[in-house]
Amino acid sequence: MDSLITALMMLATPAALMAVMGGTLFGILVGALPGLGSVLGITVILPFTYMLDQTTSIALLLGTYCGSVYGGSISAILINTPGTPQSAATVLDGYPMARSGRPALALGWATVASTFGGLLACGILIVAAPALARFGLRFGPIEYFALGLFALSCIVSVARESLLKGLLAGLFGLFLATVGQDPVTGAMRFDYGSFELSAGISLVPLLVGLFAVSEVLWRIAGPAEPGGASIMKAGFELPGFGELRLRFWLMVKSSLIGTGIGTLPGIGATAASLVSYAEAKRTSPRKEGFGRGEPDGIVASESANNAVTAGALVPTLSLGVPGDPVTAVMLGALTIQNITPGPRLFSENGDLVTYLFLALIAVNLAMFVLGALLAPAFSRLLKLPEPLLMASVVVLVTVGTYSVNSSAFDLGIVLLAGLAGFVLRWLAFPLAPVVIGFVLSPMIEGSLRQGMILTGDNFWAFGASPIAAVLFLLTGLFLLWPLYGWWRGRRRSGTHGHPVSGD
Amino acid sequence: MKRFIDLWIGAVVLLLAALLYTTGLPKTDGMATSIAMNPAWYPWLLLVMAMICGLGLIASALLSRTGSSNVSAGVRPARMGAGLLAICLYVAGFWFVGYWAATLLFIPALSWGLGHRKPVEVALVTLIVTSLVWLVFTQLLHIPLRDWPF
Amino acid sequence: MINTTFKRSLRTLIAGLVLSATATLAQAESYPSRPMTMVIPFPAGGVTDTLGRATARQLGEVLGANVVVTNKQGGAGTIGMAQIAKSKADGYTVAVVPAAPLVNQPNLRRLPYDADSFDYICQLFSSPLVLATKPDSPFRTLNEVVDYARAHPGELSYGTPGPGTLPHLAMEQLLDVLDLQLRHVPFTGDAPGVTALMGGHIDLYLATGTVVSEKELPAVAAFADSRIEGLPDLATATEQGYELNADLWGGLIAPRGLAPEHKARLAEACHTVAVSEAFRAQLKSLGTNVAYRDAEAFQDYVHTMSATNARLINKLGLAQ
Repeated sequence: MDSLITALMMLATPAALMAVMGGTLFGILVGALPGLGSVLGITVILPFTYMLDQTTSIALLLGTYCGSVYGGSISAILINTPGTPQSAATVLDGYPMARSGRPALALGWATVASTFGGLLACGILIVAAPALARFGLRFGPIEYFALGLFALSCIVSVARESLLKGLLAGLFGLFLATVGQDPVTGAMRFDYGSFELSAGISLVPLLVGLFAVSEVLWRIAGPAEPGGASIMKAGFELPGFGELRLRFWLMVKSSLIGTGIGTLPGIGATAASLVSYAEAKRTSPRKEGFGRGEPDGIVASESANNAVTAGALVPTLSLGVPGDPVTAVMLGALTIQNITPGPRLFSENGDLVTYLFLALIAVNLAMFVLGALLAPAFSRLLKLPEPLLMASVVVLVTVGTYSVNSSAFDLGIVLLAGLAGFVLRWLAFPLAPVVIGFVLSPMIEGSLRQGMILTGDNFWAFGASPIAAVLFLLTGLFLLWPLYGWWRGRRRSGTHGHPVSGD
Repeated sequence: MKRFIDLWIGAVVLLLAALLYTTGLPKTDGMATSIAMNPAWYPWLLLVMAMICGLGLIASALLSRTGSSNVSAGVRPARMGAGLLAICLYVAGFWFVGYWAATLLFIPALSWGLGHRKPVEVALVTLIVTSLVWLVFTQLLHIPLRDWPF
Repeated sequence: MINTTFKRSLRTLIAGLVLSATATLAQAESYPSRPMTMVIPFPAGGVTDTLGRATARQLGEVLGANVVVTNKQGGAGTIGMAQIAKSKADGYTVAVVPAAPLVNQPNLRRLPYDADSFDYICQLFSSPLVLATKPDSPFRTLNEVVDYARAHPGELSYGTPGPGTLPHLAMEQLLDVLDLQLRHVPFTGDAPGVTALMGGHIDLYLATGTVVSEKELPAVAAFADSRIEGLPDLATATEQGYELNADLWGGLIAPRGLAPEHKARLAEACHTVAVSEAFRAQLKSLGTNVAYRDAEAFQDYVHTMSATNARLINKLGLAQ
């Protein structure tokens, strides 16, 4: 209790509160710009923290971190470009919703879901961080492989028209990630003598090309849409109470998925939100609307990715092990502030930990307020005549991609991925499985082969791990589920279904 | 129509997978017999699965009795080519002649090409977008852009 | 509304243009006269990046110029190294790099650069490595590990941050000298590897002393000349009868062909940074030590280590 009061006093200073607001504002801006992500935001803010004291720095860093994850949803919804990779799943329903004339409401859903996910995860972090971290340690290569496979099985539920095309799209993503250096032996694969290709394909240019550039091309050359579809109501609109109540448990479930995946080092928010999206699609009573602007899709993705921010702090703070590149930067920043995350932080520096949790809650609340204030300004973008908007999007994504690595190769990837995205849309391949596959592939391959080293090339020994065994079982059930549904439907109606188009 | 296109997709997938498999993987010598130490094993697995899916597409296309297409109709490939060319030119311009020149030319050009031809509005938006993006990146985020030809 | 925004941005724009124009005109005799670029061949936020940024800040103060950091990641540092090698040697591009992409990678595979592609300015840091064990490990000394591994070849496993990294080669060298067989489990960086060690999924891991002391991991030996700060109870390998050292080290480099006066100025600034108290404190908080070598000594050391590791890589058949 004393600790709580001390922490509150630390937070209630003008400097700390300003840092909360300023950091969150900056984060949202960085997140909303395509290409620039959380890592860059924190890196830019880092030099400022050298000059500030501990409490102010923490607030600034947490604000930037959470703000950027939320900010990614804004460009995802408005221009079909995940502003940060974490929002890759948000485009799937956020953008169609905006296109159907409800951008304000889509932004409202994203804001509510983000705040909810962030706060729920904070709560879990406060109650159970050390215990969760200890549980996370039980995940070794074998368990990670099982988890990766389980997450991958969600491709089945996001494949819309045809299961085969969904699988092919997923395999395409899995395959793209194998270009470059083999993680175990260091041998080169598919580099074709190109030095740049030997470093592999980066996620940001791939995402930007796949979604943003292909969208620009689609609007230029896709089927002409019937006019008058977009009655743009710029602004910010909160969903109604009834709608919210309808999706309350979905928010809880998605936040739990996000927190859980965030707690395990090395998987990341992009995978978390995609998995959460797929899970929502599998179970939602409104699954027919997915991909056409169903709020469930936004809620599932945004609750999950913002829950990851708090979840990823669990191993970072209590073990000193960063869960993803973003928390790795956070860890570095905290170390410079003479805060040493690790087993001793909670016992020796309880006040500071409590302060950190409070600041995290404050940041999530600030996110809500700032989101409501900023959204109208951002959605003004949509008032631009379409050709000018498209041109601006191209400029933004080019500059954004360039800024990450100053690389001509990355710009080439953007163009190629844009073309690929266009062709995939044309041939009715879903795009989400490509991203899911690409994000999960290194983990699946790496952990599989690490596991094989540990078991002496005996795959069946993987089953000896209880966690892995449960996950394998669940994966099997998930894969069989659509078949069962199809079989039941067929028995009931007596008509011929199509086994490959199940949900 | 669907049959025809799915047949083609399946064939392309088969061909591409075979091509990648034969050209892009390191030669595995006798040492790398274990799955763990063989860099080619995992990509090989993926390519084989892709080939199975490709065969599946071909099979379902041959067996399918419905002729309905699930491929988007009304795509205009010529416009796509022109659009892609414009974007490529912009990216190349950004790289070789710098941010300012490329952007100040690209926005009006694309807008003009797509049929939006209000000179004042286009000029105004071009200037605002160009300078705003430049300000945010170079001044706020301290990321140098390729400002001028160099 | 639009009009005022427009005017305002135009004014800022013009101001910016005028400023940059004057800056170009003022480009006079003194070096450095404009902002410098520091390339870091690893992603933002990692140890190298944080080290590099700390160096950039100090170096900027000493030289009186802005040092802008760009991260150029990928290919275990080789992508960034290749870019540095082909940059203009005008003294405005420098880089802070760890040793692995200099002394290991060019020996492992064909790259567009090698250790001769750079001018060496000064070595800045070094952190000795420690052989850590999983938390419930029965081993207390290096001898116990060696004895067990000799009796049970191929049973123990050790993790590294990746194939071809400094800890990987150091460990292979150790195993080669002692004639032991262990399973090598490569991870993608220290974070996942150390986590796996903490969870007991692997038996051994060669990590820096700070990692070991902060995570409260048990360790059997320090590969340093003397006992290391923070782990005073841990005997060195030499004390236990194995004369082996291993550390993570690196420093400031530039593309080859610097003008002598630029190189001298940089070397002098680098020395000032290396001996400053602020830099020492910053490196300490990152778990590494200042280890200064001047330009010539640094260059010699890189070449010696490159030759040593080339022999080791050949002997072990690690090259691609």
